[in-house]
Amino acid sequence: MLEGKLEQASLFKKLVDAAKELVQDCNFDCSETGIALEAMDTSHVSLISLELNADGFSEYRCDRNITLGLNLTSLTKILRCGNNEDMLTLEAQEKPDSLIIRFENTQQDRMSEYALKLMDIDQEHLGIPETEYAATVTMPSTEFQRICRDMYAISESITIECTKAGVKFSCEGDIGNGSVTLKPSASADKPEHATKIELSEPVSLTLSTKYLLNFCKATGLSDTVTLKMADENPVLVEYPLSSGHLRFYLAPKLDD
Amino acid sequence: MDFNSSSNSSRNTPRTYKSRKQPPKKKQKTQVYLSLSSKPHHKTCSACGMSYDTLSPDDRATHHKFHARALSGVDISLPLPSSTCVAKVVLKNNVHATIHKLGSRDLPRSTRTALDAALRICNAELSAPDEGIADFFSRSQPAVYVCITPSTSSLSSSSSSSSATITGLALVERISSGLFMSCSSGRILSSSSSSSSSPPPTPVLGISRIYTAHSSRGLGIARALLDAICASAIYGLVLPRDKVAFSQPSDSGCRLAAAWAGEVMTDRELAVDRGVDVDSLVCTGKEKKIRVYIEKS
Repeated sequence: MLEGKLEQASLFKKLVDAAKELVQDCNFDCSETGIALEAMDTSHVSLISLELNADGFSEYRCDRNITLGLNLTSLTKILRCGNNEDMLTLEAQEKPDSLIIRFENTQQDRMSEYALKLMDIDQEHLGIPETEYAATVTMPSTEFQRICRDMYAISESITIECTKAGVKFSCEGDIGNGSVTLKPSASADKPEHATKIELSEPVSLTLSTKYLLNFCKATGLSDTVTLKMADENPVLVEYPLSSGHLRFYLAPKLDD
Repeated sequence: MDFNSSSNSSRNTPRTYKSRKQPPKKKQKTQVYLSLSSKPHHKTCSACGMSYDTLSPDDRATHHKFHARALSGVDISLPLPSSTCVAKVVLKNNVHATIHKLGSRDLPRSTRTALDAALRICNAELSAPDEGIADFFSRSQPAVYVCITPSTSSLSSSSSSSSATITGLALVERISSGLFMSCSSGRILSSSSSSSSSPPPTPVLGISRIYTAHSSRGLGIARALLDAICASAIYGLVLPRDKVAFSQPSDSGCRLAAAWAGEVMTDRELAVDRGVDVDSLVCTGKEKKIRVYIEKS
């Protein structure tokens, strides 16, 4: 049996909102260590990997591994029935045909319960290969979102060039071109505003703006975002969670 | 004051951007895919039979369009003129349909396009040469019969005007000779094996293609088309079924032809077809032969 209680429903809501931009139907793998999701989008260009560890829940129990096949659009509809501040409980039996979602508002003594029908989704395990990244950039997530949003209006591709001097986001479209350069900075009082660059060699990757903008739906989950890059390899965009992670992988665009 | 014209002309002028020099040609970049799945990404759709690359957006879109048309039929945007209607039939499940006979003349462009699309789907399924409707109309006294049913498809691209779909299609031409084919073996029966004293009646109509959209199969559309063809192919004459021959029937085509106009094979024909002696022949007495003809492409 699975029983997981989150103090605030908003965390799960935001996670599902970020995931539903890429995948429609996916399996949530529940084990005693926590809940995990791993899925590629239909065009196999990007991949989402989510891990919500057991210690991130205020109460968590999962006796046996359970796979919950969920349609994320339907899940969103149910999650909208609860408030962000509500306590959220996910509950499923051993061989479940539905997932029970419970919202509790202790202040108003209101409790609501919904059951979402599960789906049989034929999804194979994706082995994500270990990659040595040449460059790691940590920056404010809102800044990354702004760059992606601004450049989406100009071009369908963003080139990210990372050198010791800084990280440069540039784009070239029919109407013109643009670039944003961020230099490494340290902000003593607000470390989440800092831009950190760790580099073993300069990297340049061209990526689809549309997908990057989809990843930015996770901005509300974390103050910072980490981009890990290596030439001709998928970029890893990671939003750290208090206990777990939300990672996106995006295949680059390469020269013909 | 010529205020309007000046504003119009400035609006119509194509906008150009200032540039002192020609920008260097951008290098084309290609989106690569993540290869983490062990499953092949080439898929053959079990419903429509199309093979496509599941990773390619273009392929997926082409398949989606073809799949919808192969399953539900091709939508027609303009209603066909009532003068072309040769039969109104009520099929199984109380589906009302009209059968139209279309000649090469006076076909509106949209109808011609829809016919072309229907024929290409039919050709793809029959593995026939990819001929358009124009190629067919160059044959001897050609006619196209279509079965039109009210559209039920939610996938139909039509917005408001169209509510009809081509669910059945038959291409008919005039022929002057035919042969018998055994339904069980698919072999042509030689005329010498025929035991009847009088020569078999020569067929006058050849069915080059006959096709029903997947979702409308089992309603009796093909049989209704064949009946309408017999009743209307030659003005003022209802042709008997033995005047109709089929070209290279597929398995399902063979079953249709046998059920509609099949003739029971004689013992002698059956013995020759099976390559055994007439005395040692074991037969059910229901083995059928159908009339076929050789299509001139």
